[in-house]
Amino acid sequence: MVLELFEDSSYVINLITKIVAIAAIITATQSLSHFRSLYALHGLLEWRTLRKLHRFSHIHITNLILDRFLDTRGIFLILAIRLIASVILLFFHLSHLWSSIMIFIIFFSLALTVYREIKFLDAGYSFLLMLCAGLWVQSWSPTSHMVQKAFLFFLSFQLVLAYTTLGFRKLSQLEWRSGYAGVTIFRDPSWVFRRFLHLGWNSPDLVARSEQLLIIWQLSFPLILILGSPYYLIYILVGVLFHFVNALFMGLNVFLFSWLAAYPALIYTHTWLQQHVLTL
Amino acid sequence: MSVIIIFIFIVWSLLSLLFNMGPTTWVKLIRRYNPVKLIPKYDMFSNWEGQPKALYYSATERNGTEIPWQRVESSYPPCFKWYNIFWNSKFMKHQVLTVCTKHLLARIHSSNPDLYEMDYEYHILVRYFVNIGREKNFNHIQFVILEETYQNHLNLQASEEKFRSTLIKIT
Repeated sequence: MVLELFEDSSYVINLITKIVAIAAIITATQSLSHFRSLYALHGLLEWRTLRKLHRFSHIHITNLILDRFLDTRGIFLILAIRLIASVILLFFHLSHLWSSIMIFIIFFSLALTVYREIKFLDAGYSFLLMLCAGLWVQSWSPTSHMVQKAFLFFLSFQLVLAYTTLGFRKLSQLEWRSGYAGVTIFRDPSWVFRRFLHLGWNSPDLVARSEQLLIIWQLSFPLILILGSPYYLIYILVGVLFHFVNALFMGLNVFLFSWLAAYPALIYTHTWLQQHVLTL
Repeated sequence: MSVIIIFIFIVWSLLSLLFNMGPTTWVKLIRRYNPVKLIPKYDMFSNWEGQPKALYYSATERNGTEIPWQRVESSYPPCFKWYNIFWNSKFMKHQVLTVCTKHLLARIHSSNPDLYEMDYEYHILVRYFVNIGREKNFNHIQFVILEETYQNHLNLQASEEKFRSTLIKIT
């Protein structure tokens, strides 16, 4: 069975690494394709303007270092290096040391670009950062079975916590509870692709009910750890569908791959719990 | 080494739990239903789907009750605070405002406005305004004017002069 493969922690971590590499490729190619507009040479999006917005902008030494990395030329180089590192990580079978180096390069370049792009740390990037940092820490002792297990448990915990927190946050706001927030999003061309905007206008009830179901799914996500074999797969399928819908309708590709990268860890944790804890 | 790494993961998990759904959040949830207060506990690695726009709406659309900006500010997730504007006297506020407006107007009035870009710059602009608003004690109506003016421009329904004059009026 395919699911039996997920009992092998090395296999699961390798799979996670490959999905993280795909997500990193997407981040780099997206930023490079929007390079001229995102990292303009002049004006508001230029680093020398943006850095004034940063908390540490008054510290000379910080600026001295960051100026080298985050000006237009530096950021291009960082994105290119991230792209190369993630392609190598995806397509080549690397030694533990080289794998660790590549993951660190991806993490470092992601952290720098996130620091530069002052908009906000979105769900996709924040989860990818967490994944890269976790993978890098795990790579300090790559062959230890205990470390591998701890990392996979940690990842599952983060995923469950993130979904549940989002569920609670949505539940606490009237706009989300009523489904109005989803309808608003599906009518906003800065969120949803124009070709799908008709959903918000023509089928507001469908959007609102889907959003309410999403809240229920997010709130009940911790159940995935204790549910039996066929039922927990439904949760996983709903999760995959949710991320695919986000990618399809809103273009949230990083969100898709960075969050799905943690799913193998969740399957591993579920299997382990079923075998070692819940059978007691 | 293995013990250290496992310790790191345990501490990291505990910190995530604390910052995501820490005791303060739960106390608030139990004590009094208040969405604005429920937003804050997010750490760097948590996910936050909100935006300044959403935050702004959540702070002003409470049956017309105005929520003080200090409370809105306290509801920013830390990840937002990290990139919060370091607003000091050295920085030429009006100059920045002019740059922001100029850039936004250029985008809005271009033949093919890139909504993604505009959204990005809009976030920056909103944050400038939040800061200016805090300094000048803006009330929520002034923010509503700003928002509506911007939305009108997004729909290419208002003139550049009107937008500029509204900006000047409210600042």
